Amino acid sequence: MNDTATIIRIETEETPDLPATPGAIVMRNLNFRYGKLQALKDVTMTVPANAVTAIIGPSGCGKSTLLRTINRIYELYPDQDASGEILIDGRNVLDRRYPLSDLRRLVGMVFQKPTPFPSSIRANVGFALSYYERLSKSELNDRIEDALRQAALWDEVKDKLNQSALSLSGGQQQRLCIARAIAVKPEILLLDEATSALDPISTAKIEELIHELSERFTIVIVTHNMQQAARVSRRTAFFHMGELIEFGKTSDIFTNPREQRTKDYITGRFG
Amino acid sequence: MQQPREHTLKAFDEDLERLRALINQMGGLAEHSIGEAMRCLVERDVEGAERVIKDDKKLDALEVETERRAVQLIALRAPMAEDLRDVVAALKISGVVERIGDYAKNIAKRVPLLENAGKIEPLSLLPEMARIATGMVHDVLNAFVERDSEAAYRVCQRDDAVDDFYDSIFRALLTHMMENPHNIGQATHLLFMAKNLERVGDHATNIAEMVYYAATGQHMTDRPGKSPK
Repeated sequence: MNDTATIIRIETEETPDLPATPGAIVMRNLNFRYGKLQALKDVTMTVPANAVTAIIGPSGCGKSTLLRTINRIYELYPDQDASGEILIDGRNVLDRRYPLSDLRRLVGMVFQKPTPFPSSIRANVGFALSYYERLSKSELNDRIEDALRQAALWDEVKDKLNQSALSLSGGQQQRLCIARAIAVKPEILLLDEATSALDPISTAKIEELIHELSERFTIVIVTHNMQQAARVSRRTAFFHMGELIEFGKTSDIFTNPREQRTKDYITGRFG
Repeated sequence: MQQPREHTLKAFDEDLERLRALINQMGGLAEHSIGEAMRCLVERDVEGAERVIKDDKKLDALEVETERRAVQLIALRAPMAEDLRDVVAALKISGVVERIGDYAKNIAKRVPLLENAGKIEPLSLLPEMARIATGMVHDVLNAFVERDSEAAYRVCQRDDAVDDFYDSIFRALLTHMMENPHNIGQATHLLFMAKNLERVGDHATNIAEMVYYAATGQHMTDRPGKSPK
C-alpha cells in the first residue's frame, strides 16, 4: 500500500525548474521605493522560463510594482528607485548601463485597459517591428500575420487590417496588444490585470492564448482573480505589503499553502 | 487544534458549518443504528431490528443532501486550500458513513434469523466489538469537526483491536461449526455480523485518513513518526 502510494507520487512530481535557462527572471534582494514608501521589500525569487507565473495579493501589496520594476517603466518617474538585481539571461537589467531599448524588446507588457495606438491594425503590430528590424514589405507583412495568428486574432481581422484598431471590441483590442507585444519576439511577457476589463468569453480566449504562448515565452500575470491565477499559471507567488510571502507550484498554493497569510488570503479570510 | 478565522463573507462560514453539521448528524445516526442492531441481537428484538432497517433510509437521504450542499458550495463559493479539502472530505465521508449505515442494516436483517438460536458464546463478544468500532466512528467524526489530525491518527491505531476481535470470533465460530454442523447456519450469520463490524472499523480508518488530509494537507502515510500500519 505504502509502496504504491510512493510510486504514484514520484510519477506525478514535476521536474524541477532550472533557474539558469534563457528567459528566466532571477530577482535578488529586490527593493523598490516610491519616494519614502517602500513598495517591495527584499524580494528574492526566480520566475521560471517558458511557463506562466501568477502574482497574487491584496491591493497595494506590490504586484504591479514588481512588473513595473522588471521592465523599468518606473524610470519615467522621478523619486522612484529600485535596488537589488533582476537577472535576465545572466545580465542585470536594473543596471542603468543596460540599454532601455534592449529591455523593451526583451520584455513585452500588456495593461489592464487595452492601449491600441489610434492607427490601423496593421500599423499597431508593425510599429515596433519597423523600429527594431529592417524588413522588406513582404517580410513585415509575414511577421504581422504571424503575430496576429499567435495572438489568435488573425481570422477575425485579416480582411480589415487597414481599419482603425479602435474599431475592434475590447477583447480584440487586448489580443491586438498581445500581438503587438509578441511581434518583436520578446522572451518575457508581462500582463497586468490584462483581462479584468473583459467579458468572460474574451477572458477565456485570452487565458487560452496565455496558455499557448507559455510554450514560447516566460509569462508573468498579475491578477486579482484568484480563479484565473489557478486556471492559467504553473506557479503562483503571493505578495503582502511588499513582501514575497510564498512562492510555489500553483497546485500547492491553492490546495495546501504553507503560510498562514497565504491561507487567509486565498480562502477569503483576509483582514 | 487551531480553528481557522472567519471568512470575510459570513455566509461562506455558515455553509461550511452546515456541511459539518450534516456529517455529524449522519455519524450520530450510523452510530445509533449499529448500537441498536446489537441491542436487538442480544435481546432478540425483531421489531426493533425492523426499525433499524427503516432508519437507514434517513441516512441515505442525508447523504444525498450532503452531496447537494457540497456541490452547491463548490459552485457558488469556489473554496480554496483548507476549505476545499474540507468540502471534498465531507463529500467522501458522507459516502463512507452511508456505507456504515448499510452494515447496521445488514446486521439488523439477520436478527430475525437468529431469533430462535441457542446460546452461542461469540454472541457476547459482538456487542463489545461493536462498541469499539462505533467508538472509532464517533471519535473520527469529532476529529473532523475539530480539525484534529492527531485524534484522527489515534483512531487508526485502534483498528487493530477490532481486527483482533474479528479473528477470535472467527476462530470461535469455526470451532462451533466443526463441533456441530447444526450450528453452521447461525454461526454463519454471526460471522457475517462480525465481518460487518470489522468493515466498520476499516471505514473509520479510511475516514481518519480523509480527516488527516483535510486538516493538514498531508497524507497520513507522510506523517512524521511511525505510520499506523
